[in-house]
Amino acid sequence: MPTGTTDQGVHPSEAPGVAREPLVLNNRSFSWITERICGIVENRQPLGWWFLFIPSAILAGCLIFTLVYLVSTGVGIWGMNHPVAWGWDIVNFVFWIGIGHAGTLISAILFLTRQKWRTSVNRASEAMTLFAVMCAGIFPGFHVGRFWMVWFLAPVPNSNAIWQNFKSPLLWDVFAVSTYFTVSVIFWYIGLIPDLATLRDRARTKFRKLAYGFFALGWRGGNRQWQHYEMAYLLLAALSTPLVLSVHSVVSFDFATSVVPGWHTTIFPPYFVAGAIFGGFAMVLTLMLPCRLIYGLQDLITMKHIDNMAKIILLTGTIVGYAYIMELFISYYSANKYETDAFHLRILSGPYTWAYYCMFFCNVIAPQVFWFEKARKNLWIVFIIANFVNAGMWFERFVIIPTSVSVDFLPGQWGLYSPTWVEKLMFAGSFGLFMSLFLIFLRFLPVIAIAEVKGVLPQADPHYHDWKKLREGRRSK
Amino acid sequence: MAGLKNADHYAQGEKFSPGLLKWVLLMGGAGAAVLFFIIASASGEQFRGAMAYSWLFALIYFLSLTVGGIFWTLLHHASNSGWGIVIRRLMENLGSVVIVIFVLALPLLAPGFRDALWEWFPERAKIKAEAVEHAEHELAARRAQLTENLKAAETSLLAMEKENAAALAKATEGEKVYLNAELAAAKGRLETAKAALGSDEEIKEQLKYEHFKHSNVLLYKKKGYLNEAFWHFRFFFYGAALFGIIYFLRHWSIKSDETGDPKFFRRMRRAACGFLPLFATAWTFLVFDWLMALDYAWFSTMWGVYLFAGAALNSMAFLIILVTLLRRAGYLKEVITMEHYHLMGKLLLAFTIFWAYIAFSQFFLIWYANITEETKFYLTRNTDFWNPYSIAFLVIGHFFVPFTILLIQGFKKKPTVICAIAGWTLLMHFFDVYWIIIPERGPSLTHGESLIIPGAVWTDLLAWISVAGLFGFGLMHFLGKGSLYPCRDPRLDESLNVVN
Repeated sequence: MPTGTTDQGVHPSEAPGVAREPLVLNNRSFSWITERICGIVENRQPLGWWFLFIPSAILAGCLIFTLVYLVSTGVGIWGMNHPVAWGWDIVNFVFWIGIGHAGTLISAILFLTRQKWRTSVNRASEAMTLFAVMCAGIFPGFHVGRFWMVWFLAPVPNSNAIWQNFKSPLLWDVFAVSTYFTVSVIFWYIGLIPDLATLRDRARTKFRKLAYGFFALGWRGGNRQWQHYEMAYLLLAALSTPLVLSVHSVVSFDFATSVVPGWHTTIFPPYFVAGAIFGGFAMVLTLMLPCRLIYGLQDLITMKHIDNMAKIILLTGTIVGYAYIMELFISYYSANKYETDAFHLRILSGPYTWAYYCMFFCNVIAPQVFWFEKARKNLWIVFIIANFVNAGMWFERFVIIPTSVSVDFLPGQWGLYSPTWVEKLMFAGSFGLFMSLFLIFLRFLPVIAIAEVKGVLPQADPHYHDWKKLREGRRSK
Repeated sequence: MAGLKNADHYAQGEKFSPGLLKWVLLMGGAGAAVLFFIIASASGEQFRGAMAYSWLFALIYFLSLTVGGIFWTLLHHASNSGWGIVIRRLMENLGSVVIVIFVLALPLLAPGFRDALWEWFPERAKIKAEAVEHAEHELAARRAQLTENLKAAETSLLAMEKENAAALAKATEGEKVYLNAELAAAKGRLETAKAALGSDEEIKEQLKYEHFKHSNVLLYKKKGYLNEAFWHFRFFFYGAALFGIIYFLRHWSIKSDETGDPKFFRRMRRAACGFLPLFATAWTFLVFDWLMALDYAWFSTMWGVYLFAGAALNSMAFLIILVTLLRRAGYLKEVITMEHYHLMGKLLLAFTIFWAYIAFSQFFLIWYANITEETKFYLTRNTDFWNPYSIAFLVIGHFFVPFTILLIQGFKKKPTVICAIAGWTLLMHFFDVYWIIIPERGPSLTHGESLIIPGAVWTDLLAWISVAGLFGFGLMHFLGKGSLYPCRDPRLDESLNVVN
């Protein structure tokens, strides 16, 4: 028997650091979980919800205003100029698309790798994914200039003799993002069905019963239904997994297939995917930390969940740091004049050097505090670091996109870029839209997957009694 | 499954006795290696150079398997996993063989091998020798020129002082500023000229640098990284870092076999997280130094990830085969179940996809952007017979075949099927590593005259057999020490009863 102070008298399998922490605290029962989660939808929203929703809705209104102004005036009201044809609009697009990665990663990849802790956060992060992708879609959609012509991107028969350029990664992006969005919606919706049925069965008004009943597709929770459901869920998870990788890989192709130093480097696809997961998890934490407090979900979204997400942020942040360092190293090692100059401008003497250091600090240095358990257990620190990451990932796209082209091969066309108030307001407005949609989601749909959380309770394990017997047998020895 | 397996009943572990096999592998491997080096020393310079590539090929093949073993050990701890405890010792043992590979890598330090592989060594040596000669030769002329420059600077300053003295007297304030600045500049030029006219040694040093820069600007710019001293330091750093990581993890793991103290478990987890950045650094720069620098002009930021993907995939394939062989020999029958096979099969599938994703992205971005200094790597490999080779082995063999088969769930639970795929993957890894290294050989050694060195394919196989034998010996050695699975690991329960 071990003789350590904390391990004294405990079987090694139950020692601290070895025993698995429970995913639902305080031995909550099945009915408590249903009550607590459905309660959010069924009861009046707390004051905090309104405090967040009203300004969000106003901001979303600003987005609509700027879009109307843009369409009625033209993209000239943005600050883009000759060398920098991609400014904040594309930065924001990549930023939001990146955020839209954590949801499907949590729901698909963590499902395939049997990470049970995903159940407490997957629903909300999938919703976040959808809203983020919606926000992302706005920017390139309006960037094309004549928004009403955006359907030209789709390869449908038309009488204008338009043939899409299939050689262009920009077109692949249209397909990648729309496929991702479609599959994510289906995946999210399939996951919602059993919970919608729960809400239907608890509904006290006729309208609620009808509305939830319509979307629950006649779910009765029978054995055969569950069997089909589980299989559909598994297949969709398998289908979504390559999509998580493909979307941001294709986004990275938008830049990396070019010959612009700072855009073209081979590590871009996995680096973008890691960055997207990084930024996505930061946004999940930003949303879920207040959410669990406002709705009292501490027993479901436990410190263990937050700890895991903080560790993923540390890991992916360090992978992103690896990519930054590879880029810097190869820009030196390549001895290529343009490559070296581009990175020299980025880190030493360029007009946007400050942005590079903001990015590096927020994405690589700041998350390193998550090496310490104390930091991961302090919600303020977790929240602050998550927001550093949100900012850092925006800066990363800013560093890559406009700064690389502002100073390129022809000195005659160098030019700096700064956004106009319209771009700034649009970006703020996209946050408003995102937050409004998320708050509406909280209001009407179960924020945690009720059926799935129940599945990871210890008493749901078919071997629950065997494990109990094993442990009790050991203790009595 | 009725009831659960109680880890307490498995605490005695299983001892593996390699028996005669260990010595057969040693004798076979060592015999082949001796033959290899006899041939190498008896061959002419070009063929010996070709054999250096053979040796590097064999080393990288087995090094990637061992490095994969280290990776899986690290990952298992860092991700707080439980499923693979019963396989973890095999990962640790596989990883430990890295020391054998590093000992076998020592011949790469011999100039006959080293210079044939990495042209920058002889190139630098040549330039350095020329530079010394150049400096000797040019010294007198340069000194004369510098003296003349100094004189000219002095004369011009004197003249300017005289002229300006007159001008200053009647100058306005603005003109004065200008005239004084002019004077200061002339003084500065004089100082520079004085500084340039240093001792003979200083002038020679300057001449050498200029010569280096003019002879090979790439190597000149890369001299901070590609230089002999730093390269040798890195060579030993990689060995120490990689072996150090797995040495400690295996050491604690074996210690915990004796007492079952959970403190080792916690220590391994903590250490593994800390080791991950070190591991990534060591492996990335190792493959930069040994493989990317086979052509010092070429570069790719993805290179480290690409080699990592192959290493992780194939060491998993190797582990699957190792588990099966051990089970056939009567070991681990109780502890490793079809569930473990299924899990390993899923990881094999995941990494088959990951390898293809990385390999494709690297190829695709270079192909699409079509920048000369990057495309040269693929130009060699996508022309002549290397083109059908790439398509057959890398595109179809390495990806489509295992990917399609591994998608089927049932196959991952059948040891014979999953072993066949694992064996296939290992064969494709052979072709992948071959494809990375060997296309450089012909053009490098014959200065672009020929794509291949006739007969060298046999030394490739001989090298592979030598390293395989000694790798096998190392593996048997480590397997024979300690239990085959961490028998008192505090999470053994979880691994024994894993269901997925």
